[in-house]
Amino acid sequence: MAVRTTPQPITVGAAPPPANRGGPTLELEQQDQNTWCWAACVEMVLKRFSLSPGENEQCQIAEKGLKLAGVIADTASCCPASPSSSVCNRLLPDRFVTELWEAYGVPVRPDFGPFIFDEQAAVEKLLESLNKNHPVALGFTDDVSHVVMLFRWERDADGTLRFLYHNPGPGSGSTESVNSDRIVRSGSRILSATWEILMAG
Amino acid sequence: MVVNEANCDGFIHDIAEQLGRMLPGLCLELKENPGKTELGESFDVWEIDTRELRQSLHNGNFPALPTQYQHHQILFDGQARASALSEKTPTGSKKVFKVAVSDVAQRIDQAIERLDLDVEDYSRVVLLKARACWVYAFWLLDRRQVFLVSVPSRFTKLSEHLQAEKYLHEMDFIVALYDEIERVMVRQNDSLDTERL
Repeated sequence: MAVRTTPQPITVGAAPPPANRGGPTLELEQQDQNTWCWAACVEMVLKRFSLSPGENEQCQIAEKGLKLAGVIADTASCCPASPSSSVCNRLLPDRFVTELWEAYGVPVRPDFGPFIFDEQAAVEKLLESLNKNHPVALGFTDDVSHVVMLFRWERDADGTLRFLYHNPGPGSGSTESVNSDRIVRSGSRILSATWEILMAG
Repeated sequence: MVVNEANCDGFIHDIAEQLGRMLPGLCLELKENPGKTELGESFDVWEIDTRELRQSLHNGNFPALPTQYQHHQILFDGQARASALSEKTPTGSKKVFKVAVSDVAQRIDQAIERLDLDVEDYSRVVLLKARACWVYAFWLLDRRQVFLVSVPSRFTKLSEHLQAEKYLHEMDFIVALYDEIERVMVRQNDSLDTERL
């Protein structure tokens, strides 16, 4: 018995996509630096709504956020993003993530929970946002923290509800579909912040 | 020869049936329209709690613990393009709760190829995830080795050891991981001061 599946992989039958679904359209942007999940999420939204052309590249967003937070000097430049540069490869505290959205003129509704005491209410709130075609940035806390962009819900004929989100990385970006009972808590990962983008896409 | 006991699991047809319901919506979003979708290899997932690394260095015990999860490779037209996670339920069945389309599936596929070519002696293998830092590796339990599959560039830039497609003794892996996590990670408790990567 080897690692490779033997004798053959198993065919997955194709069901039609769930007809019952909602939420805005949004394209994935991968994070250009290890710590820039927050900048990649802002980039997804700015590009979706064609906001701040000429200022919406990820390195420009990162530079703006890090200057807002006073993490880098006003004279520092983060563009072009260089994998070997550590000056701008920095995290951004949540309070400045909110300020960064606002600095770009993106109306957001931040919510720092806690969500774990009423997971169903949190799920309903996310559904409500998506049904207004509002993307939602989801902040998770684990050993380290991370943010992804929620953009879609879908419900199977049997009632199973799933959420789809773009995960900007690090490493490689991905688009993920997760059962709704795992969106607030999955293993050690806890939903700890949301930023509803008050723009319909 | 590397032995992956999860491949013998009797639940694979049930997993495939669940994937058949989860994948179409995701494929629609990504404008993927594979002619053939297949369930590939399955692996038991073990997890390294990165908070236990220091203790592990003191006591010499490899700090991986089994989880209730299995990782499943998904092939679109013969290419590993996606993966899924399932969890054992109290009734003994398995429930798929997450599907992701990402390059990690391809990296795991390439690592499978390497292991089958390189390892001739007996060793069981499981998929190892270092919690919260996006490091994937295969753990060859009987060889006491890890084979690194996917490592974020924040580690590869700084560490000569934490490089994908590299075999390490399991405790050398822990030493390297500890060094880099201590260097990179920032933890704060106040939610407004939480920093996200």
